[in-house]
Amino acid sequence: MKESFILLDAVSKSYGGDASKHVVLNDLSLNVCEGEQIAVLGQSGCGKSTLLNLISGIDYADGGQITINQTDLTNLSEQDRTLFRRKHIGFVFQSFNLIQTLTARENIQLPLQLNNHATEEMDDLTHAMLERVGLTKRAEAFPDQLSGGEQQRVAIARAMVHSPAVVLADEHTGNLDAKTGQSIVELFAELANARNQTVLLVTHSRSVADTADRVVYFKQGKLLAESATNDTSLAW
Amino acid sequence: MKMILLILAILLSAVACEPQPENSGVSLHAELGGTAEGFERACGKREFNFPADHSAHPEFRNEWWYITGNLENTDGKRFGFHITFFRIANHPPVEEVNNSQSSNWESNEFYMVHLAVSEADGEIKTYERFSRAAVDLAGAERQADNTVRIWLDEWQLIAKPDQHQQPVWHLQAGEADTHIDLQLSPTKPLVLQGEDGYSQKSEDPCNASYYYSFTRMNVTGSLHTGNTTHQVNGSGWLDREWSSSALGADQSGWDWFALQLNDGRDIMLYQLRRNDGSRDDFSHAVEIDQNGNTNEISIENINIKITRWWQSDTGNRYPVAGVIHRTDTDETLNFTPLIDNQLLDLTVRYWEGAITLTDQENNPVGRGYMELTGY
Amino acid sequence: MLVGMALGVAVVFAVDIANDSAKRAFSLSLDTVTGRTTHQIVGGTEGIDESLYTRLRTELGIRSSAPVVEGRLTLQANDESGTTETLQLLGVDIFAEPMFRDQSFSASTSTRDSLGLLQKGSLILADTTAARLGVNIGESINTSNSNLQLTLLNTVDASRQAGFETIAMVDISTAQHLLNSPGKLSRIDLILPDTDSGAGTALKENQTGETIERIQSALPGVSIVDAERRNESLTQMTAAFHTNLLAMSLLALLVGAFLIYNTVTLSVIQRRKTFGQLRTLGIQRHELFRSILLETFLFAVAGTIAGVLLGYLLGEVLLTLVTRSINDLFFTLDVRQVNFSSFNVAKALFIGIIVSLLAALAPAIEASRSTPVTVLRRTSVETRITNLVPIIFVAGLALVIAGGIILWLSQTSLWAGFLAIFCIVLGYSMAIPRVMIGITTISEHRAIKSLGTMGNYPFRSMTASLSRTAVAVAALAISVSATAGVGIMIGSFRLSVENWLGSSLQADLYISSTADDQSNDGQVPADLIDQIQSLPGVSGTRLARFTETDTNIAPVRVMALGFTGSGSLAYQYPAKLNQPTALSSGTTSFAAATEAQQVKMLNTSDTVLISEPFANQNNLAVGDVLNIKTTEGVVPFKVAAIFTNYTTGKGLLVISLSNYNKYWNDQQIDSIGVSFTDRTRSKATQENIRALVQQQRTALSIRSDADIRDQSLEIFDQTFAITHVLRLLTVGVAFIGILSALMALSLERRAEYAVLRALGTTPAELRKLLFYQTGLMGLIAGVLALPLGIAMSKILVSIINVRSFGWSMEYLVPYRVLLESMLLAIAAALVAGLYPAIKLSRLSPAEALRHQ
Repeated sequence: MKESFILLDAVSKSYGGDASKHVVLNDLSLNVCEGEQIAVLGQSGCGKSTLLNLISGIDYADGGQITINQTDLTNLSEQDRTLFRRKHIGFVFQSFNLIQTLTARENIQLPLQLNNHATEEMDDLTHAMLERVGLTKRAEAFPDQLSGGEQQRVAIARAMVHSPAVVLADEHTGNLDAKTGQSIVELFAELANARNQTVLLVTHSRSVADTADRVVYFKQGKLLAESATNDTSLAW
Repeated sequence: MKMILLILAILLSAVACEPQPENSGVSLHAELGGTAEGFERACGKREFNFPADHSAHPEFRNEWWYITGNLENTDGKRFGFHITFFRIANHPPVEEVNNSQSSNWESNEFYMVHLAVSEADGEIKTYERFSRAAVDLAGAERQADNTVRIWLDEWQLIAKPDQHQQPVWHLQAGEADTHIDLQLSPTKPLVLQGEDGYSQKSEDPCNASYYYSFTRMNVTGSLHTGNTTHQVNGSGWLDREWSSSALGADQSGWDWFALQLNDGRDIMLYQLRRNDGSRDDFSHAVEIDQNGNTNEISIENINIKITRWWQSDTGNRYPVAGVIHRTDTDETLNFTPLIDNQLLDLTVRYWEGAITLTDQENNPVGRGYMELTGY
Repeated sequence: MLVGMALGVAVVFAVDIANDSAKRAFSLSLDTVTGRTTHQIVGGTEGIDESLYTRLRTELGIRSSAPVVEGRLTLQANDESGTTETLQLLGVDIFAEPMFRDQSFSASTSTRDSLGLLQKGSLILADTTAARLGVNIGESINTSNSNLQLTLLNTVDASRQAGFETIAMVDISTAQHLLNSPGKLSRIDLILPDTDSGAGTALKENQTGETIERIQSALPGVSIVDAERRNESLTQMTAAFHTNLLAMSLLALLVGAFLIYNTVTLSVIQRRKTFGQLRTLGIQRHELFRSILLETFLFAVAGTIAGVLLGYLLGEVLLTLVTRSINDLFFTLDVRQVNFSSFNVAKALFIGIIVSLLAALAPAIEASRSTPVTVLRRTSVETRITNLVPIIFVAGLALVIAGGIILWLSQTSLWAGFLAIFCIVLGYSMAIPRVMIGITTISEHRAIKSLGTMGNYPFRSMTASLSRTAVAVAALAISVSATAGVGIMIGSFRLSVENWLGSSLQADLYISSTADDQSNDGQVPADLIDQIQSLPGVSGTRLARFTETDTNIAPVRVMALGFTGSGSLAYQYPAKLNQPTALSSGTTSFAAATEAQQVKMLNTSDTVLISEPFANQNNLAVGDVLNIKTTEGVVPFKVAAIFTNYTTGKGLLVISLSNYNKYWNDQQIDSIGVSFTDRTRSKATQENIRALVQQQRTALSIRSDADIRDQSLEIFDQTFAITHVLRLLTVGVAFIGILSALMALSLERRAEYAVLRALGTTPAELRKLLFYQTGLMGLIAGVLALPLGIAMSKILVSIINVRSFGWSMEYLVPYRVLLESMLLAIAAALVAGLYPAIKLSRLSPAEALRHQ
């Protein structure tokens, strides 16, 4: 077994005030190894997205501890968490979330720029990435000129271009038809594998989850069970 | 003069005692906080000095030149006219210490003039003017040639001595469609009223005035009213009076008669009415014969009986006709107004009008002017 | 949304009511002062002899006449504050008054005042004025006019007699004392049969003419003017001023309209999603359209009402400034009460609501036309807008050209001038979106290289939301350009005035009477003049005598000038108006002649110099003949030159003192300008002059040219205070516009910013990004404002000012003003960006993403 890379220890998170408190995550612990690809399977509203937000440092936990590559996120300031995220985490969203006013290429370049890569290196990496996701010809297109699949490919490229250690994907096929979704899932997996990136993907789709090394089941903020992908005994 | 009108009307209606012309000024001052203090008062007899005394006496608070007359035009149509120049002082004249007067408009006096013309079978026209006694807008002055001029704006009364040093008066006044331009020549010598011109009005010897008259003057000239200018002549009467003080508090008004009888006699008669309606003891009557000799008539010997009242639009009633009976001579004089409405509804409201005198058989025996105040 | 509307309406309403109040107060005070007067007997500056009045009444029997002594009275408040207040002193004769001003006075003066007023020092004030001065009835109050202690006799209810608020009524004797003008009246009011109305007009006219003739034949030399006409000429003078203010308020309205547009679109766009959902739920287009408009209407009503209330408060502030300007420019007018009619309110409501509805129209149509899906997508609007941009651009250019044509075609019409400015401003603002796209495309390339994607983002972002940003930038650009334009105009004006003062104040020391020149014969004793002239160190003098008279064209002020020694005329002659023409054909024009020739020409012929405003207002040119009424009858004077003069909007004529002596039969002198041989102004000479002056019985003042210059400039600055405030207000409105645009932007971009945060942008970086963007908008607005501002200032200086005041001036673009305007634009944008930026950096990306 590889070393634990992402470690969640008794993490809890709830929203709202005392009166209307809505517990999203409850005393959750999860251990992800370096290079491991994990799929979190669960229905909408079960806390999957919150889990990703906590790991990425977009949101913060009420209790417990989140450690990524030995960095304790819960102890970091907003600023430091952002800097950590910028460097080590890539994020793919369900609705692509490309910056509308920037071209495909510029969108992909954004993380490199945030991480202060040299211009040439930036251009090379972007170029390579565009090629890798098969969008060289569409590089100067704006998001609204791209199809959903193309947009998501740009988004994946953006999430991975700076080679973050961790890539998070939140229902990244949710807005796509089955066929396109399949190609995206494959692209995503290939890229992550190639870079030995640790992946946490959230989905409600069994088939998407199956591409992962391991699947964890999520219900009402709790981890129900986990299994290797080829273990079908816990189908539900 | 709306403001002044208001002031006077309000002030004077507040003071129950009513508008004898002399009192108007007096009560005005009383109300305004002024007193007789600082003014000279008429407390006893004095030496009269003419023509100087025809002009103003600024050391006294009030003064007036009062002229009435009965006129006829060439067709025999009758008119009455009345004009009074009032001089009213706000405060005693200030001694100018270093004469650094910064404005000629400063004045302690103002003038008020009432003009009324009554026409038989017609109506009375009344006019009123005010002006401060400054920058020659109004005043009274004796000129080097002994001419005395009393004026307000273009209205003026000028007394020029004739060859007998008797003053001949020239009166010019008018407004809108009414104008008079009259010469008045005395046909009798000047009469000093009261005790040699000292006319006591109440118990206080200083509640008195200096008072003289020309009881009969020949009047000629022109009278314009409406669209017509009439050549007129007739008989006029001039009263001059100056004083500094008011009537007694218990006096409510007076009835005053200037009677010119066809036989050459003139009678001046006034009765002061007390608040209780009785006649005040200081009422007074005097008869002047053809030659100007005066004959005091005891007021006890005079009875006035009212025969007809006239009611004005304001609801006030005035005794416009009546009978004067002299018990000492058993003479009876009926008086009737030229026209009923001879009310001067001015700042000070009073009835002042031409009257006709008849005897018991209703034969005309004379004419005159009657003044009714305090009604 | 409410704030935006309220502010826009407030500015318009405030200017409107301040303007109206000033105008109303002016006409009220004219009424109070002139009342039912139909004609006035007027004299020159020294007034008329009071004996004229006596003769009028006692000889002519013209009883409908009232003497008036007018001037200024400065009262000192009865408290520690030491504040003073200057009122219009109205000296009347109550015995002559009633038929003149009874409407205003007798209704409210308590009855016993009338006689009390005769008391020297008695004073009647408006109750509000008395309250301000802290004086009660019966108490005394000090005046700086004289050591005479005044006593407040009574007060007048100002709410019933609004015109009275500016007036201190005293008896004519008190007035003469206070003004130290014994024997003189300012004028005599007359009521002659009304010729304007009623039956028998012809007869009345006849009577009036007859009376005037009677007066004139009996009192030769008096001049009788039609009071209406006189008032009218005063009214006309201020009309131009009010028009200028109105134009300012329209500018504010334009900016306000942008603001309202912005706020309305914001509110629609904020709920774009909701509308989309409503459409999905089956709400029909027209229903949606209607409900958006209805909602806007309700908001507009609320916002406008709030705006009117706010505007009322603002109006009070403006009013004091407006009246101060009027005081400085024209005459005493002191109004403290803001008056407004239902008409003002209706106007404001109408403007607020109509503009709101118009502004809502576009977004409402947009929201209702689009399919349920596209409503959800912001970019669809932007695409359309971007398509519209070229059309708007062309329309804008057309408007600008139209404005130019209007300017070119209209000769002297002030309104046309303003219309043209309006066209140009509107057209220019319509061209702004296109220009912005242009600027961003250019900047993009450079920015890409130097700043990379993050640097590029602000440009892109701005262009992408053109519907929002362009309006904000245009509003800011307009207001900043107005600031620049007016700033340049005032700068040019001030420079011109300074130059003019510098050249016309040739003498080193000026001695004049301290008394108010209107009501006083402030004469300088003749022996003093001789003594000064013979002092060692004095190289020359300039003697001046002022009077007022009538011409065949309009009433004017006349200044008669005489010189000794090196005393000099020292006038500037605008070249345009002084082309060598008819005057003594062949020889050089007056303006081009030497000083000595000029003085000689003035002395030896009946020539007159006329002030530029007078020439412009009455279309007079060099060589024209002006019939001037003198004491010796009407004399034709030839216009020799037109000189620059900024002292007053009234006409001013200059003739030689010798002509004045001849035609006015008057040897008095009002002021002496003394020039020193030694330009360093020997102290001794000054001391000698001071000593001489102090020996005089007449109160004289000595002022140096520097004093006069400083005072003049101070007055100048005061006069334009109102314009400064209006400029700032306009910028304030634009500021709110930018703020609301940025708020809209950041609301719309919430998700995008959240993504940026998710990608690892720190809050500080995000703030910086937004700052770049707002700064960029400000910079663009600033840059775009400059050409418009310069154009506007040029029009203001060479067209509007000439048309409204008759003043021509040098034109100078102070680069500081341009720089300041630019900085103002950027600062306004940055400050406006502050709040959205702070709000944005506190954005919780998780939440924003979740709500997506």
